[in-house]
Amino acid sequence: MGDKALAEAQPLTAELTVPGELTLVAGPTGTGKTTLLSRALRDWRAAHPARWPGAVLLGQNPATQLVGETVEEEVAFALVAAQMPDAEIARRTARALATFGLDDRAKARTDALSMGWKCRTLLGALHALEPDALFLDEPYAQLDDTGRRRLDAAITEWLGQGRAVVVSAAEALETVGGLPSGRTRLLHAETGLRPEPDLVAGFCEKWPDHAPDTPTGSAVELLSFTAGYEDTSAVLRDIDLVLPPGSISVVSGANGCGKSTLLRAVAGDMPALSGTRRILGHDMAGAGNLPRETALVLQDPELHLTGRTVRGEIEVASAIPKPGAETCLRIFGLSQFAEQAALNLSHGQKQALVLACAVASMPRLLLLDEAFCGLDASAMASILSALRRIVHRTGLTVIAVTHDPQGPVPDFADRHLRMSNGKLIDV
Amino acid sequence: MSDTRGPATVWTRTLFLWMVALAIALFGVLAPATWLPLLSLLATGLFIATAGPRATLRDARPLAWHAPVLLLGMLIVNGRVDWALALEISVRFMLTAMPIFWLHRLTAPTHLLTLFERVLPFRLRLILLFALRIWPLLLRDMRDILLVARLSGTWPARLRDVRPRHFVHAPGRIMMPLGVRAIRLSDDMARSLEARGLDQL
Ligand SMILES: Nc1ncnc2c1ncn2[C@@H]1O[C@H](COP(=O)(O)OP(=O)(O)O)[C@@H](O)[C@H]1O
Ligand SMILES: [Mg+2]
Repeated sequence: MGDKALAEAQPLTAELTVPGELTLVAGPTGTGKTTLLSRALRDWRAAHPARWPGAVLLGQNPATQLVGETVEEEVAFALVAAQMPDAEIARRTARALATFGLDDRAKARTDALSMGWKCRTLLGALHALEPDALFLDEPYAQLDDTGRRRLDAAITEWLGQGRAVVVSAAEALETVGGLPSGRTRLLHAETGLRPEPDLVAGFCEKWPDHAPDTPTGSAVELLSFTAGYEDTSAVLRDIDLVLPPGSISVVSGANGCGKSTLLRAVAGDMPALSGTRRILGHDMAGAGNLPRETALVLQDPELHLTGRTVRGEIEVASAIPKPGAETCLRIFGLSQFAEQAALNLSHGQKQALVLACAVASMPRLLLLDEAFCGLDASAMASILSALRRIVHRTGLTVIAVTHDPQGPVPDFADRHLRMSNGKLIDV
Repeated sequence: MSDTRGPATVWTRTLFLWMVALAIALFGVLAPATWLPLLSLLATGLFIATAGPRATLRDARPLAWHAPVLLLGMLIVNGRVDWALALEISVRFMLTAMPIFWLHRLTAPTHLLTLFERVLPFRLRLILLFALRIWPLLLRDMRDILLVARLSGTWPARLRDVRPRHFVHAPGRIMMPLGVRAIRLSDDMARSLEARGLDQL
């Protein structure tokens, strides 16, 4: 990104915001959507210095933007700081909570929310500010169906009140969510991801031959499994999940139903409250045991980064000598960014990098938590195809979770499961 | 904004805080020698009483991190560990760090914003708020980073399995991500407040 995107952005920012109109900024990951939006915010404020808050922005990573301890507090935070009268704060907070369906969770701790609900909370906080212009950076990426509908309704309401709304997305859609987007700005850049799935064959030759030491023959085996966090009741209830080695399974479900928790449990992070858990043939009743040869890709890719360049990150993570790591970078389309600082990549590029690192560690079990969020359609298709080939050649077992049952991720699976309220159902 | 923890607890807390202040003053005058250990005991006791033992254990865990650094540092600099000195430094460290955890336990963030309204300028209050908010968030992220490190074999699943070789990779694979995360978190939080117009107040 950087200079080119900025130069392109300058004439755009003025015409992005039209009161009462929705503008869509679309382009593949890494084309500078985030840069454009934050620039537009600054320009808007410079043009309207007397208004408060005037324009507001929703950043792309909900996990790092929360300052309040509870949902209610987060929504009211800026109003309290602005020393609004209590009655006004209460009125606005109540409306924002209702708009995004947060009433039940008003007292919930923000750090215990799932990603989609964090996003809703932040949207509520922006709603309460009643701004003139809203810049939302890929707000739909983390939201499930109900979340999307809530946001659609909120955008309709904002537009009706004459506010300007600018939304970015990885895809140039006719509609944003369910709404017709009056104006679309397409960002084209040569800087997108260009994965090369054809290199998989050569890469997999270096993969170690894992002896099939799983006596039961299954890679993952959860039977009547129940688990939860320290300070909550059981989040996963009565899970029965048996997966053969070399299979790809996708678990879909609404925000907060327990998908991330399921992956943590498979990774051995939480003690079983009841039931059995065998991973890669090892019995793991307690929490202390962890399965070896398992890679977990967390929902927030930044947690994996160690402050190195792209090449540095993959070399640190990989179990293979340098040429292999280089091939892995090319498979995931990252070779042209090899010398860039990984932290400065776009969200989608970080996702791709973290995936590449996980694959380069040559695990036998790969757990992916919304690992395809923020990737544009073409990059996602090539990366999924690369993963498929790797699975076929190496017998790797993959569990991927997603909040979007309609998207391309479930199609890539051998088996599609749905999760609802902590329970698993086969589709 | 109403305090989410109820007015009764606010009073008990205020009472506790005054008791601590009184106790510090008394010990300072009466018995200068026992002042430090007694004070730390008192502070810890009060902390546990107000926050509960579980929360204390969870919140105070990072306090224990200074121990390996301290012992290793002594070994490198002096060639041996001076246990009395280590204990003294630890107590001092705990004492200085404890109020941060305490303040965080006792006050909701928005409450904090209004609490020091007359004493501190807005920016300083925001910085104070950051300092307090970032601890629990970092703690949660540390859990995730450690989980990833354990899965990759960089760090053992059980503490008793720690070997010297683990310390070779720990700085690069655990400390670095954590440091990066700390900077990132404060940066993003500041940006998020800016995006809500708080920088214009
Ligand atoms: N660290 C945590 N502490 C307590 N509860 C949590 C924590 N993380 C998630 N939860 C709760 O567990 C449930 C499932 O969350 P999660 O697995 O993240 O959902 P998702 O399906 O969106 O990934 C939610 O109700 C959430 O509030
Ligand atoms: Mg999740």
